[in-house]
Amino acid sequence: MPEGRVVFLTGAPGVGKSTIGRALAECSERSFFLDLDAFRANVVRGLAQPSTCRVGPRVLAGEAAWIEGYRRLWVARLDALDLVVEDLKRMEATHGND
Amino acid sequence: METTNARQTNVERISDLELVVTRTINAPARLVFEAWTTAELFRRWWVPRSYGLNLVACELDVRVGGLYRLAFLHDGSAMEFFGTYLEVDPSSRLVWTNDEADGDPAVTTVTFEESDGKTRLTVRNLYPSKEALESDGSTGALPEVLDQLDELLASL
Repeated sequence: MPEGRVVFLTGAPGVGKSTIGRALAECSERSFFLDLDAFRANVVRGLAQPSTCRVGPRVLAGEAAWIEGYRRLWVARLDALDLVVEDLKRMEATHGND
Repeated sequence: METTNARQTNVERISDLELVVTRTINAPARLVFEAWTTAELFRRWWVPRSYGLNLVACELDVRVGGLYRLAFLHDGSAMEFFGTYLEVDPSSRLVWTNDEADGDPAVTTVTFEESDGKTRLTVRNLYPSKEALESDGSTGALPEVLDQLDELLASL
């Protein structure tokens, strides 16, 4: 029996950890994906096969996950733009319109 | 005052080659335009804090034919985004090329439409091919991160 491996994925919210984790788990029948946030209480059932599969944009494209990543980027970006524009409005209100 | 509808960001893939983002900003178009065209303002919002990217350079020469350059550090490696402004129509329209990828550039068109003191923002990204759209690093699923993951997996 091959030695088991555990792959940890960490990163900022919305970057695709869960998507990549699920894609990895599909590489082998003996692999599984454990989302520690959602399933802290889950019992580890066995060890995963060392992976020979490649994960690339195509895997993600199949799930349209990249467009979700794109959406999250723009939501975060335009939320930040909102704050900057609110600052500009405040400054104008304080200093007058020139 | 915040209403979720007003702040809603819509993202749509309208064809194999084009992604469109729309959002209404509660401010006149000239202020929104200013935030897109002034480097000190632009750098405050273009890279969301949660992405952990360190923006080390932000140069915007906003005029037709002018260049822009954004440089990031991420885990010690550098990334650059750069291109040329094709159209600059104050408070109304901004078009630039994205020259960092190989091959023909993707073109970004931003329109600012003001009504009742609010600005309807539309960002169109037009890619030279379907593959270019789907492998765009700025879409959030960074290809280089996936490449690193491939290397990691190969070494296991």
